Amino acid sequence: MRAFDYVSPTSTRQAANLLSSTWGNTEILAGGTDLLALMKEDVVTPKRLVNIKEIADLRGVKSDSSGLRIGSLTTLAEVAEDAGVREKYPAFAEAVREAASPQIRNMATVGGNLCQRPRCWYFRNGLGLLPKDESGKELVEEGDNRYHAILGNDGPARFVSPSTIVPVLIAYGAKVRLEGPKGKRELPLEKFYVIPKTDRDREHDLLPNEIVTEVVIPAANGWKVAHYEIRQKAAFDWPLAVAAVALKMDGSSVQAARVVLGHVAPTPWPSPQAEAALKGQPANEDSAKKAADAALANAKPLSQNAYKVQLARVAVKRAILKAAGGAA
Amino acid sequence: MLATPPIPRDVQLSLSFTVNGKPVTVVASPGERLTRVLREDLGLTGTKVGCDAGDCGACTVLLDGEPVCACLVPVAQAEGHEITTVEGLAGRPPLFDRLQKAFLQHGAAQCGACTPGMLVAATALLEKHEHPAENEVMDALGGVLCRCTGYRKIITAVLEAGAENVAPVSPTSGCAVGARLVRLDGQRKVDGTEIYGADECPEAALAVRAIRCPHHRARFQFGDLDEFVTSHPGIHAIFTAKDVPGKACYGVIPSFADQTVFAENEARFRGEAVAIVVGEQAAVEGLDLASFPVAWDELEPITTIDAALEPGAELIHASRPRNVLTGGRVVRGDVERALAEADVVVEDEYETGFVEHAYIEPEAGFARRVGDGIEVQACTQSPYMDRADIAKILDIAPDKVRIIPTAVGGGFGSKLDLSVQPFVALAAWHLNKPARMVYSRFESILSTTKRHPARMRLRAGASRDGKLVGLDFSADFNTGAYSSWGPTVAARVPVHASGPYQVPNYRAVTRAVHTHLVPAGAFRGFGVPQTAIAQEQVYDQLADRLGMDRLEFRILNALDDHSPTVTGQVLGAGVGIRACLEALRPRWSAARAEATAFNATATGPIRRGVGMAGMWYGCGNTSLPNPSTVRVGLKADGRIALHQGAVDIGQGSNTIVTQICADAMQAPIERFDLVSGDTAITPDCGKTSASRQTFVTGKAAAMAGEKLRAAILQLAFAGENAAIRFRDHCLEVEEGGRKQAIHLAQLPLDEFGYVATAEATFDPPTSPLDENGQGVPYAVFGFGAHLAEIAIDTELGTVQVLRITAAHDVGRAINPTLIEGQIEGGAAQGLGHALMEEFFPGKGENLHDYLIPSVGDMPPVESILIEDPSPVGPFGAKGIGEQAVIPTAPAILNAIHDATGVRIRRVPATPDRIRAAILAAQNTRSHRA
Repeated sequence: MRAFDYVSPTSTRQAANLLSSTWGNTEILAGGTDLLALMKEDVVTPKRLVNIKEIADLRGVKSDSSGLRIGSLTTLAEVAEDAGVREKYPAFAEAVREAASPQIRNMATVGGNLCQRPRCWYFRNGLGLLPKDESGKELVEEGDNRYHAILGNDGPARFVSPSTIVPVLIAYGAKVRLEGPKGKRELPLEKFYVIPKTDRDREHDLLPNEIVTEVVIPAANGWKVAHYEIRQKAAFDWPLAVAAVALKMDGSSVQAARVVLGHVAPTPWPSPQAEAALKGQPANEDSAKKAADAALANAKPLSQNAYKVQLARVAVKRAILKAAGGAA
Repeated sequence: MLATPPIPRDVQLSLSFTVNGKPVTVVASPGERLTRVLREDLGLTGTKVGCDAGDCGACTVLLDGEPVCACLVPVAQAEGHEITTVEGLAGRPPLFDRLQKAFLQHGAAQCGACTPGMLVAATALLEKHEHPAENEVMDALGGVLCRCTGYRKIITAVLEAGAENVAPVSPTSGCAVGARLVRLDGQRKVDGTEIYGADECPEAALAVRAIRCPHHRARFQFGDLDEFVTSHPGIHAIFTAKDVPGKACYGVIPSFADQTVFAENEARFRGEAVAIVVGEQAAVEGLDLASFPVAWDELEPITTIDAALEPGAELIHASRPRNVLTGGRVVRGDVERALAEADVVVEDEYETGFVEHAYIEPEAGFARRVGDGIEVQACTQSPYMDRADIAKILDIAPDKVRIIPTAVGGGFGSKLDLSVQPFVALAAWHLNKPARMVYSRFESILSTTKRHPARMRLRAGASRDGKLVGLDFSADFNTGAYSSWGPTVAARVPVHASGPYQVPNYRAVTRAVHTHLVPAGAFRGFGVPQTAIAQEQVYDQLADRLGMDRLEFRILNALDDHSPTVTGQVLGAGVGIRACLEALRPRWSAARAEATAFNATATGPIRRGVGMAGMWYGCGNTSLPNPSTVRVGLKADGRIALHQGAVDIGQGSNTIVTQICADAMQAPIERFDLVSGDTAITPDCGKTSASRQTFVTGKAAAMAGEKLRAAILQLAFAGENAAIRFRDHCLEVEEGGRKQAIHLAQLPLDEFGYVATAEATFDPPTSPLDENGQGVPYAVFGFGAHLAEIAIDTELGTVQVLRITAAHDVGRAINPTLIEGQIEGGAAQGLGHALMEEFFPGKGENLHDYLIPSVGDMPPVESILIEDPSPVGPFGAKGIGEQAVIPTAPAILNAIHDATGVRIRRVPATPDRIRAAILAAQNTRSHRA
């Protein structure tokens, strides 16, 4: 690992001021579970680390009229143990419990989870988010792409968004709050993720000197939410596909639905097609299957990942049925 | 309040925190990993580093009471917090005391490299829930990988830690064999004091880092190396091929030796070393290797067997035509005629990929020059082979080389080959300073050997009455850039491809083929696990075609004591395969009935299946000498020194060999002191491979023990039935009511410093194979059969293994707990091979992309031990290490077919492959309809 400056601010404002306005110079250190691995492999080589763990304001879970406010430094373990989360947002609690390992959940923060970098093996080998060889040949398209994107992959970005907890947060209608030199802003969580078009772009709508301060989840009144994850291993494995579904029922038919896929596209992937397919339908095997087909209708698998289309389809179907069967 | 001012890079910081209840202050740069500070600065080496990335959990410590991966904690974030390592758990009685005892009692620690992480994670759980449920234990241990045990004994130990411990077994004289003795080296593994390759470092040792080729194949040219050294303070030297004194190639099989310490001009695989940089630790670690003066000219690599065999393909080694390293052949009877006349014939093809050993301990060690000799202390499975090769490399006599094996944190075959040893030896030799090297996980995966990818074609025939009449088998193995153990795989596979059955007409032909990929070498089973994947799936198909029960088909064809094997060998006794297969019958019937009932009423996508597979495996080298020599000495204080050089890589030879020797001497096992496999003090017991240590070294230990007993009896002029009682400084010999005391202090000491010494050598009786592979390749075979019950999600292609039943003929179970440990661990590796493990060179050289089973993936394993004694083995014992891994994967694959009707011909059976097979089957059906 290369040498760097190290600073521990105690307020978000100080932290933002210590961060560079251009990418590459500085990195935020919180739980460190992703950053240290990236630094060890020289994928990122910051000249300064800004340790934000001393910023007390960014910790903890609070409840107010806007819903549940989760400070970005709250660890995944703290979220999974939080009585309010478990009671009011059980699908979120479940997704958090399934993430990584107990050790990692004790360290990794919610903000870090939102901002973690893709697991794409070309990216992790230092070849960039949009990896090309010297002749300009796109490495993912030509190479081993068994774990890459099947949706939203018509641009040069073909990695998959790595978070397993973001799809369900989006299904709950969560927002992310950011603070930077120009002040604070709030975004619907799905807008926080963007598909990079050029080598200069990042996969987050985040300035280099902006900090994720909070995730706000509105009250889930009336929504039934479910998270479904498909992995090769029983635990401690990045999923092959994730689906999160929120249903608002009107009697026996779906009044409104949110369907979000994960690990299938460079961003978490809300599916208006699936949502439209569900609207006004009863939530049963047949409608779930149609909605799942609609969610994957535009899938364009690469040379080695056609199997993921089926996996994602099943994940959507099962998440719908799980949501319909369960409570919020 | 203002932010603390930025701490400039390279500036060290004084940081205070609590470790194991004591305040400590360290001076470190803030981004230093906590693992490093604990291990290197505070000397707390109980915390292991397996991956440095949070993937393996070996470095788990408690931070304010919660388990975290210390490798992901920048030390500055520990400031003001409380850290507890495995060494500090001793201060948490009585819970930790009970947990340690439960780990020992249940054989939960094998190599021990994951044990500290497991113990810390388990302690955190038990302090919250004294009596956790099994699923809570599995959740709590889910972040710690183990490659040896298959996890079940660890789960049991944690569950039982709350219960009162049973007193450990303490066998009386002559009763050690067969006892569930706690492993003799166990205590060190559960208190964190065991010394592995990276756990010791001589004062002022220089650090060594290798420069490795980033391409599958590249020509290269160095720039100004001297300038690089002078412009980097703290760097002492760079060594390349021209600095290697010995010009001969080295390699694990001398007649195929083709490796050099550094590539010259052209590197043949991604990860091959071309140079080392040696210097002070901080300087070496701080180097930006991107600035190292080497220019790579990437060349088109040959990566597949087909491309390598293509007529006119470039030769990877000029001396090996068609890129074929070597081949193997066993022919018996007339296979063409037999298949032509067979009532049913099945033809099929199978393919397997590279498999990574993924032991938790990456390679590490150090060397120092001692006068005109060199000492190398490192993790290894083969100290005497290392000695021979280091002597070759340094061009000095073998007796000038001393190899001191450390505890080995898992080996499974890969630590038979040299890793860090040539680099540290060369650096220490030239610079006359100790030199140390610790592989990163990346480097370990990148550069060390793998299981051979195989491509196998089979034609098997049977008669209407269910008898196998012939098997035609051919296989090509991708052996990578260098020979390593490729010749062994090519030779062993044709002997084993029949499986443990009577196959009167047989032809098996193999080739090991070079490519520009990482060398494939030894990995638990030397090609036989791949072979079993093919052969056992074909036998299932034959049984189905005959309308026979798959288990009964195998029982009907099982080898017996008097039937010839495919090499014409008649074992005469100790052929326990039929007993193993019959032992599976009750579970086979019950499991099949349960699966059938489940599937009959299943409405969802889950289907159940049951599969089984048999195996045999010859212990020791194939038709080659592989002697072990054991020395045992009676010390003047009445204790017994056992010099046994079998390296214990977790499998338990330290304990097993002692149990055997103790009973041969009829001495109490507590009297024994183990002397390590250090080449300066212990004779050669060969390599820890080929399931040979219990058999070969165990036999030598039995012979040496008997000899020492005879020598003692001679001192007392007593007959062979006399009893010896071992006391401090004194022996009592009793014969026919006549007692006499031998006061040991009065006896002269021999050249070894003992009052009596015995040495014995055992080399298994084998004979060379003729041009048709006929002869006696092994003196002893181990036999076994596994039964796997699975649930498959047909919509996803994901498989959950529900239960494994494993019957093994071990001849004599010297230590049933350790044998079960081998079986459960073997089953875990077999499960990984079947379902998730494949290494792609250049991709995923880490433990999050390379999947191995974690605790949640392992089902309960029921071990059934069959004891059909071998006339040659010690107390009738046979090997078990490799036997245990072979039948699991084919049993699982046969279960997938049983559940779904689809056959997986390319392992691992990942969701994509299973789904593709299911879709293909549906399409075929709909076309037919």
